[in-house]
Amino acid sequence: MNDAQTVALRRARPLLGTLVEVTAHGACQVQLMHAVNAAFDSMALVQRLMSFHDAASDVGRMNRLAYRVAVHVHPWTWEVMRAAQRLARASAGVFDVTVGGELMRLGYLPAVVRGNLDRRARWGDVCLLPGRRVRFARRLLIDLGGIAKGFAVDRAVECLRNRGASAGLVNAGGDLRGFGPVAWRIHLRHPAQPGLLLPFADLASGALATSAGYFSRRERRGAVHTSFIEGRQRGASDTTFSASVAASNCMLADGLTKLVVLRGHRACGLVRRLGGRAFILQAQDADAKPV
Amino acid sequence: MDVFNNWLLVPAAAVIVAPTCAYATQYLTPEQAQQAIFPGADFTPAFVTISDAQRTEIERRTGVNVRVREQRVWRVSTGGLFVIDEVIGKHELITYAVGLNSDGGVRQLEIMDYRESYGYEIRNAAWRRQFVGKHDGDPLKLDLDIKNIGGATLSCRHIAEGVRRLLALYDVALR
Repeated sequence: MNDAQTVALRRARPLLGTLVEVTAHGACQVQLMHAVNAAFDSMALVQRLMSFHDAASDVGRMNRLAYRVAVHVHPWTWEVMRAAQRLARASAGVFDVTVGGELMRLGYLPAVVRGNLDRRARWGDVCLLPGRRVRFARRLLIDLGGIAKGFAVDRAVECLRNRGASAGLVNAGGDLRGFGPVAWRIHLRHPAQPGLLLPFADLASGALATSAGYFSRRERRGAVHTSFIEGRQRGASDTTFSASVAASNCMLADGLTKLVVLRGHRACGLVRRLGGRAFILQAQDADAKPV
Repeated sequence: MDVFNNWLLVPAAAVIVAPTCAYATQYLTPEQAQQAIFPGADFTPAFVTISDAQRTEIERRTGVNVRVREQRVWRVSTGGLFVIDEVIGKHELITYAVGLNSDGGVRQLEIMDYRESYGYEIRNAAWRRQFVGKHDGDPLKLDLDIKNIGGATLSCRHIAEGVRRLLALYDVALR
């Protein structure tokens, strides 16, 4: 590639509850602008389909109706639901998207439904039926927050590639994926001092997702917790490390980081079998103080 | 910790491994933001000073504080308005541009500047040394280069509040 003929665009918009950055390299400025706009549009569609907050989204409709009737969903929602169920099965229920009720009770998600949820409900109560229809066997709430952002990044990358970008990086609040002949330098936040950025790696082609409790950590009734809920016991993680997973696509990387946050080193073997590589950044060595 | 995956990641340790303690990115200048949202249009400044009454009304409607009285607004030759606004969080300062269609609906939003500041000082030399490159004497200088952060950005709740405030401003002062 001739550098003199390569132009670069870097844009950011608020989407998916975070700041999403899209960087694209290519030969033509106008073409790149269209590619970047289309990438944002595809992520906005993922948000409309999978937002927990929006009653009209597929997730909103499932949470209101799927206990009573089978709910027909968009092909993208279907793809994410299938991936979520695969990951739940592979992790014996540690990863579980039916933790919406717990997240609501802890105040991480708004109270979107009235009536009693069935606290025994688990991922096995989500039935994926022929014709892209979803039915719940118990009254439960799903939240795709642990995996949909990664999926959105994958869709955005697909958009950039299809529309002529020679290289690109999409970063949705720490779930990121790069492609093309560029070494993308990635910095990680220090788990105890999120304002500190540590150079971590150069990403060529592939995805890296990072999960950590630094922005969701809260204290409730004397206990510190984060927004990561273990699927079986339904305890909120009090993790102090940050977990990063490298994988070929961002949805997989995003989902696998949740396993590492919840299970620590014990998850690394499983992560590897499922096609990812886990990295844990410990906070224990840092005693930097706010001034 | 697992080993690096050689087809996917190259460890950054080979280069200068120095933490930096602030993060800032400029995505667009005002002119670039104008052309990104309204390509090919001309822009006429129509800056607005918000009166006490307008301020009270905007705050009543939105529940969002009006901190700045001067609002940078441009009229767009092809119809609509272009507004530059800032929101301040606990640790972040975000400048963004919003294009409004002639009916007052949001056409497009672009982040122009994103700055984080924590004000942390790293006191522990032993901890600091483990990240310091052998040839780098100033590991903690403010580095404002473009960075790709793996790890959550701060919430963009403030931007949503800012847009609510601007839409109320449109209703009370710009319509």
